[in-house]
Amino acid sequence: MGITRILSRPGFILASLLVVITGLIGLLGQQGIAPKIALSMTVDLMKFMGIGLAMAVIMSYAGYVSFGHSVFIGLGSFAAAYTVTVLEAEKTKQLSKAVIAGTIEPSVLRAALIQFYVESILIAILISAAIALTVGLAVLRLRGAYFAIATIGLNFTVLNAVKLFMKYKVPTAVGDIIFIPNIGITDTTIYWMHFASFVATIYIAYLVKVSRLGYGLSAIREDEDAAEVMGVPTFKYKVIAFTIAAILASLWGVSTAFRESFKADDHFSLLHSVIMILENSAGGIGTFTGPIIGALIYYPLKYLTQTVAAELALAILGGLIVVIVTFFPEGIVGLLRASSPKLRKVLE
Amino acid sequence: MELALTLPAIVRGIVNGLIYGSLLGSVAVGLSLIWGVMKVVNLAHGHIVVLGGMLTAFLFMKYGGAYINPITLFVFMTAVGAAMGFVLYWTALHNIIGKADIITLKLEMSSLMTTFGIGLIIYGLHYVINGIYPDYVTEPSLGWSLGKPPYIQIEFLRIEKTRLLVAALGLTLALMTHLFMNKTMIGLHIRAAAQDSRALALAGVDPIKVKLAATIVASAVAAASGALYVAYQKSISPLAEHIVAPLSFVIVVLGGLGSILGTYAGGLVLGVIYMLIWNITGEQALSLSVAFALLVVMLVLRPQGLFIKEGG
Repeated sequence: MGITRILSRPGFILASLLVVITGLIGLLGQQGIAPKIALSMTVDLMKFMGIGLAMAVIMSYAGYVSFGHSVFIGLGSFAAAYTVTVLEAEKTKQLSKAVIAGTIEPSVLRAALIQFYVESILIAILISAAIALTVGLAVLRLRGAYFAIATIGLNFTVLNAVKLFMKYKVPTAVGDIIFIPNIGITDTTIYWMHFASFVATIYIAYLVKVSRLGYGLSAIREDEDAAEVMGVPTFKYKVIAFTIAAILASLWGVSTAFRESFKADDHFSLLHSVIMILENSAGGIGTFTGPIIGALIYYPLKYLTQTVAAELALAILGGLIVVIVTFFPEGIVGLLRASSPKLRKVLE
Repeated sequence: MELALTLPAIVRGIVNGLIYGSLLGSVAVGLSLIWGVMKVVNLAHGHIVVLGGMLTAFLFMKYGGAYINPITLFVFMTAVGAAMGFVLYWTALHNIIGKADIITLKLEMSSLMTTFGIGLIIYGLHYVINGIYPDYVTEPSLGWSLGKPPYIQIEFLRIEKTRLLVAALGLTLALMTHLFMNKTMIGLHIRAAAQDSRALALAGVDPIKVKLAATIVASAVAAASGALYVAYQKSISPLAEHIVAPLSFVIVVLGGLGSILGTYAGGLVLGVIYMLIWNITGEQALSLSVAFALLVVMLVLRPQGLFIKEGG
């Protein structure tokens, strides 16, 4: 497909619109105009959209539910914490001292944080791509629940391997947590880190959708055997999609670590996978807009339940999953697309 | 990490592994049954086990005495589990697979989601009942033991009597489920539904009732094994689910779907592997990591399980 045709498609316009809006909120926040709560809420929303889109590449496009996908969020988070506190231990120490003493130049601080972020991202991509590729080659031969269970197995294998590694090779680990010291990360820094992940995720997820790969994945989702017969290199496409989904999820792990340090049990928790899956099924399987709308539904609900009845939040989430999957299997976007051909064109 | 490759460590690993494996095997039986019969991977399974365990701990702490102990509560939990199974079927499963003759991939994924949802509700309710997340852990000081001394000592090997009893009861639970499936009419229907649901309907048996029965039996076994879990561990918290559920997957896949005794044997195998690694290296994280890696390897190489012959 030609580049100009992609640029004028509704999905691309939606993606760009979201990027512009979140970018503007960031700029307003930096100037001190937008309140802090707006920044942190936008960060949350970007994260929910981002992880939903990451999962969409394998689950929604290809129909393979990677139930243990939180493993890549955990790995990304671990990569960031490891980079900052072990690989760059000296620099972090100096930086932390200077920040606490208040003697640091803003430009030096910014350069250092950008360097940390980029290094973390690179390491996270490297690890998650390596694992997704090697494990994917094996487990993508499985279908349905077997694949889902295998990814759950992967999640717990890696979680325990990371814990073991932390015990012997990460001196900065406190139990299952690696704290990122005070290195001058502010709300705005966190915002721009999430924003960078958001831009990357939303455009990559969209480009996958409209590329040859995306059409192949749709064919796999609808009928894998038929796709194979029609000449779609199904296995190759699945491995590529799984790797892309893994890399995108790991980006969100990195930004999460800079926000709240690395917590092994928390960041590897299957709850992340469930949120990703829920967003995709609530939004609509096989669509690019699905997980975005899913996040827009899920986040307010989560926010409400957490403020109204914090201890009920998990139970409500569980009930929500049952209701949505049972009664709205096509999701919101699915229902809208079925209702009118015009919407079918707009909601990709 | 230091390796303790000594005879005592190995013997201890094997014996304790068999005992722990007997517990794990009985825990996984419920999952295997429902997976084998209905092609539903019940992600609420671990939560039902833990619910049985939590109730046992709660009742024992409150009313514990000569007659109320984890072993007698074990019988009571069967009833609780059966009720849970009833609820589970009508909330999570009936709308998805109740009327379906063949479980397609899509239905399989939907049931995965709904059972996870029910699991999340059970998990969330623990915290509502007991207050503050996440500091909450029940640690019933289960001073309950079978006479003094509470263990049997053979040379360097020390086995707790309670755990030995748990192992025996685990075996009993698995055997009884096996007998139920093979010697009763309902069991026969359940096995028939696993092979051909439509043919069963033609023979005049309502497949919905059979599916309901299978869910009830599976949940009853799961909750009862939760009581055994408490008797073995002497403590439980909702977080135990994170160990119980994934280990059950490993066991079911090791033992082969739907085969009750195969699953139990899978539990023994996993228990021994787990305890051997833990005893020799002293690292629980390593034994867990190996156990879950085993799950992935088994799914890829031998999805039919260790004990079932190819095509059998």
